[in-house]
Amino acid sequence: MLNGVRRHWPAAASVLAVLLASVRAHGEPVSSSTLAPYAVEVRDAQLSTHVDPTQRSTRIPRAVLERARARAVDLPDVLDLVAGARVLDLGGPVREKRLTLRGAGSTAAAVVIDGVPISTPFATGIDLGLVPIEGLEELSLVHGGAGAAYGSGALGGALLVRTRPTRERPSSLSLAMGSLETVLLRGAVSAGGLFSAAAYEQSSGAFEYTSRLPGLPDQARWRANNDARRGQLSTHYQRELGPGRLEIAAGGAIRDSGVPGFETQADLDARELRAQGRLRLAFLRDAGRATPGLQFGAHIQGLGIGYEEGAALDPSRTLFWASGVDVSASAPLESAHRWSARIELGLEHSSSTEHDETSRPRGAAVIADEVQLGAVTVFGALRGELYAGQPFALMPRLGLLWSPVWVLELGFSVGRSFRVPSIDELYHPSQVGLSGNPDLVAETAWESELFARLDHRDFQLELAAFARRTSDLVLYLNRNAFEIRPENLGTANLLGLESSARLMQQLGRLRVELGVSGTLLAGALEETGETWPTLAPLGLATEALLSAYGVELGSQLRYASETSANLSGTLATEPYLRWDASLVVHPVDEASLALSVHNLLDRRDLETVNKLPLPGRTLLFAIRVQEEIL
Amino acid sequence: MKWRCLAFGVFFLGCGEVAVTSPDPMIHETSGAALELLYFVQSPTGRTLFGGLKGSISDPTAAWSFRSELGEDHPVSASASGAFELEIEDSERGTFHRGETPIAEFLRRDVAVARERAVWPPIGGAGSVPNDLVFVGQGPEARLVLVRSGDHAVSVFDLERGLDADLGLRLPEQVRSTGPIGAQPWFGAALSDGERIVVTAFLQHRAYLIHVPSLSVEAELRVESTVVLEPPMSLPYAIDLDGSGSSRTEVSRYAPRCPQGVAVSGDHVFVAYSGFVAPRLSPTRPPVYLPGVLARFSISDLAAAPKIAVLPLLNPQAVTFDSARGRVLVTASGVLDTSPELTPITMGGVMLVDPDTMTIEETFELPDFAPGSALIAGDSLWVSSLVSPTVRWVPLGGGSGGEIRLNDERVDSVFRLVELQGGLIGAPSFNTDRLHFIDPESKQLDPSPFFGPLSLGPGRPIFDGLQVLARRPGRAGVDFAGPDLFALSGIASRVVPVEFRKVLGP
Repeated sequence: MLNGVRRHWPAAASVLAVLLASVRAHGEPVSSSTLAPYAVEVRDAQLSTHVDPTQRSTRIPRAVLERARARAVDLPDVLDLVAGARVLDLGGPVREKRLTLRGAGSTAAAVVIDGVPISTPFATGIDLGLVPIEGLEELSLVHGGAGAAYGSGALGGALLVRTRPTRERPSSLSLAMGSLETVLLRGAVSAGGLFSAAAYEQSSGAFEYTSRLPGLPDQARWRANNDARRGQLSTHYQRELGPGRLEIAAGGAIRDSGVPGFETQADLDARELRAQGRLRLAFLRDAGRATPGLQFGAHIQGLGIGYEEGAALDPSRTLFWASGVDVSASAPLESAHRWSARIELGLEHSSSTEHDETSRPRGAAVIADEVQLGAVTVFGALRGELYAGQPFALMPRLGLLWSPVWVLELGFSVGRSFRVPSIDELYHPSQVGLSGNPDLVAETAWESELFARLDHRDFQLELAAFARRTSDLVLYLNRNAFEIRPENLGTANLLGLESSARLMQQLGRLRVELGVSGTLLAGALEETGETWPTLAPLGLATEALLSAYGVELGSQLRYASETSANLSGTLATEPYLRWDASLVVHPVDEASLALSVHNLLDRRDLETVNKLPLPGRTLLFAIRVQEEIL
Repeated sequence: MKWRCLAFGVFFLGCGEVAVTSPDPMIHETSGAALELLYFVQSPTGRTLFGGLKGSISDPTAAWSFRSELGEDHPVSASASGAFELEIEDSERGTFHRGETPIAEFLRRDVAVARERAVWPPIGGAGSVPNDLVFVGQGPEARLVLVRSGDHAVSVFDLERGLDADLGLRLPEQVRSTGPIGAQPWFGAALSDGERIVVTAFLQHRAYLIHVPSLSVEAELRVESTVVLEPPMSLPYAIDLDGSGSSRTEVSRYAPRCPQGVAVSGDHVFVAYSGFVAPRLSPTRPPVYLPGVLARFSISDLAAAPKIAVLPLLNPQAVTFDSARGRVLVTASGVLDTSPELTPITMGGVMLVDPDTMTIEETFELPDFAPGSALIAGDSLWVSSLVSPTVRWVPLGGGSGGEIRLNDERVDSVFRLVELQGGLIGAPSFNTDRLHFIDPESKQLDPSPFFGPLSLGPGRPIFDGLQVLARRPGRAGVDFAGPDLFALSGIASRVVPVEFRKVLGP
């Protein structure tokens, strides 16, 4: 195969030469600035002991996050511009947001914050709204199954969050106010080895929308009981300790919100109080020439949910925690050969009116090996993981990365991932037509990917094609007319293309950045021949930024084609099209004023794939100051 | 859809062609015989049969015969009901004769192929939680009305384009202190004027009289009076019954609530209020129902208070009017508990109600059966179950009845029995998406010419949830061409047309 590539290389090189020439023709490349683009990184600090260099990921650096903070937008607004990522907005400002990757459900996107895998006893995925953007240093979105690296849940990929500042970060304070009585107060403090961020946010969440149901006249409606208040806290501390360093990371969030129900079944009574927290302690020693790198870590993560609906019904209470310890070692054997190993032990416990009192331990062991053969890097890993009550799962991974010239990388990988059923999927009692299924086993997926990446200074282009075959897929199905429960059902196949391009140009004092990402997905359940619900065949996102003289104009457009809300494909969801724009003014380097407009097109019929209404046009005015002014 | 095609195109998978099904040609009228009820089939056992369902021969005095392509004459001798069956030697075609006059040529149909062809491609997109399908009107003007429970709406469901015809009506919301309440329409029944339908509004404790051509609500049908319980009924836990904010553990007086079943007879509309209060919510909170109520409204005098009857069996599901006997059939499932497993925990059965006096003349108790619907055919009461794939018959004149099991499912639901042409009973199975046929005379399951059920969906494991059937008024092939039955699958939210002409007729 390599020979074949070499034979065709002259032709490919000439195409690239033309491409690069056209890029250069737009002007001289400039160095990275505060408006740094999303870097599509292959070698990335993934918060794992041994980073897989062949696993494709998109790094969202501090500068991009800083820009988002200036506009007072949230983490999900940043993530869903990335190819393959789609964030499901479940109701507007300060409401729940869930990440989906590569067409997989929100349960198939692992979220790891400072090395703590965030888990939940429910099959709902992780609420990104509880991750404070103010406390973030860097994000990485891992594309595609990453079971060998991150264990259960990383079927579609993973979101890796780092709060530890890599360099001195100024204290800051921002206040934003806008439509829907939205108030955001966010701040961060940095002192010595300690970095802390906190936020308080609230919104009435009440808005007018247009109800659009098939075959019925449109109707103007009012979304009520959609208010939310939340507080967030994130802190990170590190200090040198003996031959290594000690890191302590903690964070949490609490949100009190109404639960407005579906458009066709509004609920004005239901309330939810949700809190989650995490704490991790780690001792790290970097690898030297003669000494292996070591890491000892321990973490605990908790989630509490209280749900109340009307006076006649029992309130629902859930208290969940997951703890774990991990030991990792890695070392170079030779200059071009590196190995690593990791052992993890953990325990989940849930006490809930939804599924009683349940505990389950888990354990995992991972070995990985990386060899560099000239321009080719070979990475192999094998993870074995066991959850109580589940079959032992082996997750191998093999990746190749070839860099024939310095601007180009070609990669291929294949690996297996899995997702263990949540506690509630297993043990939910039969109530109100829903029950758990104690016989459920983990769904597993083989995924292979081929990608090419061109990175020439201020122009980046990436193309990836992937195929995934998921077995023992967990679907919520009618067992009969009276009961729905999750079942392991058959096989789902998915083919996908992801592409992203980003161009930066400095035209005199004007800086221009253009980014576009696209996703094409085609998949079907073997049992039905139909695609599965919520899978949008086409996703597009564009971003344009113009900046000069301390003024920045931004525009983001998101599109997802129509999909369906049921397995039969008969409940269509309208295409999603949202255009956001912002104007940020920096009167001085340490302060900014921003006006952000969400849903500029004022589409009142915008809804999630779950058919929850979203607000029309909203405005947000934000002021942000940094340390020198404070 | 456009983008989906594009996505597939990129991967060279292509978009499949939509199958086009054409209706069988029309049948000419024949005096004394209903050609659309005759069949000429090869049975699964290899026998070639010529026969007719009940009503196929209305003039038995005529000299009917079937002449096979081999030239053999087979005289037809129909029963009193007009049904007959002949075994013919292997033959591809033959001609049905009256005396020496050829009436129609019949081509032999392979039963399995004919059953398959009878099922048209589904018309997808029936909204959220579609719950009933009713024809309003007669002949070419007949409109199929879809009751969309989850959308709080009704729609005229175009026989080819479905909801794309954009003929829908959002039912009014009811404003309560807790906020707006959608109608959650449950079942519908057409008036004989061919233009109006009555739809029960489960969450609003009322029914709506809807003028279909103009898609407008003409009137609300409400029971203003309350039911007095003597002695008062204890509730298992404190419940706020009327949304007033105060909970109570005892009920002495209540307004009929949560109507489901509805039937029309002449000027009268019969609405059955299920009395539903709450499903099982937790191990300590079992399902709660108040006694069901049957109310009779008069269309010509809607201002008059309806006459009501409190029903002895809980959770009435369906109401039908048996015009032959002039009686209202109210089918009550009893209370169903879902934990630890699906079980009827109170007596279910069928009540025969005198429509004039609103007195219950007879009650057929069916313990542990959870009846879902009932009809009278062949001097027996036929009842379907909500919790098992079973249909029972009870002789109206006394004596022991029996039961027909449709499949091996442990739990299955036959939501509504329907009268089909030729006196057959249609019994839809929810879990298997199969439409079974029952001959009420012979008590035979899937008799000739079907010899098996129609597959109206994939069945397990991802079944469509075959729920109810709407039979198009008129004679298939005589009054109209094309499908004569429309099946609603609730889970898949689609309507499947069925054309019996692919099995029956020349």
